[in-house]
Amino acid sequence: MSLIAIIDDDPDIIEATTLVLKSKGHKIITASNPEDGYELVILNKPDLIILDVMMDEPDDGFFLAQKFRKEKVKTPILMYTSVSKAIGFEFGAGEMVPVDDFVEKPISPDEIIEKVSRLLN
Amino acid sequence: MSLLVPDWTYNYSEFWNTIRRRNLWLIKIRYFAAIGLLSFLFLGKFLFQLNFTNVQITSISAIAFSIFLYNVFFQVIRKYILCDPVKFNCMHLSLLQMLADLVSLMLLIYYTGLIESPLYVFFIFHMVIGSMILPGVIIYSICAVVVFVYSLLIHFQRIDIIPTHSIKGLLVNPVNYTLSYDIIFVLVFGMLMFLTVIIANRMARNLLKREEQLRFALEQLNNAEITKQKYIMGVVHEIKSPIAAIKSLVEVILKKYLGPINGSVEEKLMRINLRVDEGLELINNVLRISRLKLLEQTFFEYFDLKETFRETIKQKNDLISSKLLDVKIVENFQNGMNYYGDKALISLVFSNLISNSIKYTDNGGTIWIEFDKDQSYYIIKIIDDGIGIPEKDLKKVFEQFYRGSNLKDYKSEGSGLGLSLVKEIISYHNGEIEVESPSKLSSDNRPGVCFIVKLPATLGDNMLTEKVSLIRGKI
Repeated sequence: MSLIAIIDDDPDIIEATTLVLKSKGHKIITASNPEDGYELVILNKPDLIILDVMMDEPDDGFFLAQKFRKEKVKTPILMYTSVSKAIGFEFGAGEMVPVDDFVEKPISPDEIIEKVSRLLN
Repeated sequence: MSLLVPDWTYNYSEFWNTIRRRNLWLIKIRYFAAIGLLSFLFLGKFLFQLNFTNVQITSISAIAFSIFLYNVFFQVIRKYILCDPVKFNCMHLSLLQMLADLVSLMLLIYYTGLIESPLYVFFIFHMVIGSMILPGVIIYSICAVVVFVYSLLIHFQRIDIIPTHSIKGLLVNPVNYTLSYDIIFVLVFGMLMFLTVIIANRMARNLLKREEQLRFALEQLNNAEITKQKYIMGVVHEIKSPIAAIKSLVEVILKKYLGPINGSVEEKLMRINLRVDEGLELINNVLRISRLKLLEQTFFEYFDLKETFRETIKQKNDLISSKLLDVKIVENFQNGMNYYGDKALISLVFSNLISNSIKYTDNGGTIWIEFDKDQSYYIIKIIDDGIGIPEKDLKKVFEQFYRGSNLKDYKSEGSGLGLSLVKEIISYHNGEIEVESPSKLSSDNRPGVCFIVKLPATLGDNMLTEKVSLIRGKI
């Protein structure tokens, strides 16, 4: 069982993700904006962060991920994006985007379970 | 250096292209000028019975030869002279050419009798060309120097400081020009030269100004298009969020994370899921079109068309098996189809075409993918035995928001965006797309449709990139 932080401004996405991950026995904590998300992570030190790219601003998620890495928070980050890889906006994890993997919305339970378990191991 | 180059041209590639084109054009006609000079000697002697002196034959031939030589020189260095506004550039090459031509012409006129030479008219021609290429201050200065030197030579000729190289046979008796004639000639010549420069320069300037206005208008238009596309992307993203949330929740329910559900609810949820998928596909298509129009760059790479198509089919496997479709790949061309293009965009083309076939073919239907190649194109055919396209609609299928007239009662919703996007992407890649209905798989009431995609098989990388950037420029 791991502690997973979900930071997303869409309550339904949070709920869907929570339902899926709880079924696998994980403990979930959530935040709906980057500021709360930051505090949540610093205070609770989760094993994995699920982070939405777009919240109040189109690139909030990226900045938050960069902030975590700058402050030496090494927790794996799984990023939610709503931009399709198929349309060519393909992100690659790197210095600019210091995350470990991506999931494209809408989320598919199987994909989340697979990626979360891979990142936790 | 910078005197020659107006500020606004610094980032204006069309201006530099024009100068480069004009330079080449000047070089080409100069070869004719050199040949024309030699023909002048030849035809003058044998056709017009002119009696050139040895000095004239030698000097005119030497001028023709030197024109040829410096022209070869210009042609060679032209390739190395770039359009850097702050260095020696093609504009300076234009000026050099003009000066060399004027010196040659002045010498030619000198050796053909100065005031008696009919060739002085060519100065007017040079002034027109110069006004088109060079800034006002330069061409006015050149004009003044030409008029001054020509007048001075005429004066020296009158006071016998320099000899008169009359062409014997051109004028019957030795003509004695009076001083008044000389003065009037020089005045008329000077006026003609300056008037030509004033008019030609003004016209050229107006043209440039209008071109600049057009360029500005085009820039505004481009900016407006970009703003529009960004707006569309923003709005569509907003629409995508709730739909993505619906889909995520429905998936959670369907996968029984909330516990068991009864059969009829499950069936309806699956229906919701399907319709949401259609909505997402539509949204992604709009986003793709916007991306296509917004991005300045494409990502070109080598990939195999067959392999990419197979990957696309794999993604649709669930849908294919749920409709019990028989999908068959026919390889009339056995080898690999190595292609240089934007893989993401080409995948989109395949995905849209195969989705269409799946959508409009009934359960248990047949879809064939045929790979072929002719001399210049890779040919990919997507053939089905679905509902087909009525003949009257065939020409309109690639228009935006077109939906077939036979789809009104059809259960599946289509956006009418897919095929216009397909066409746009294929045009980007210099390819072609055709549609035929009925297809060769047609049966009694299932005419089917065949989409034929042709992508250039022999296009060099540079050519393609150039073509794409050209198209980009137009958007």
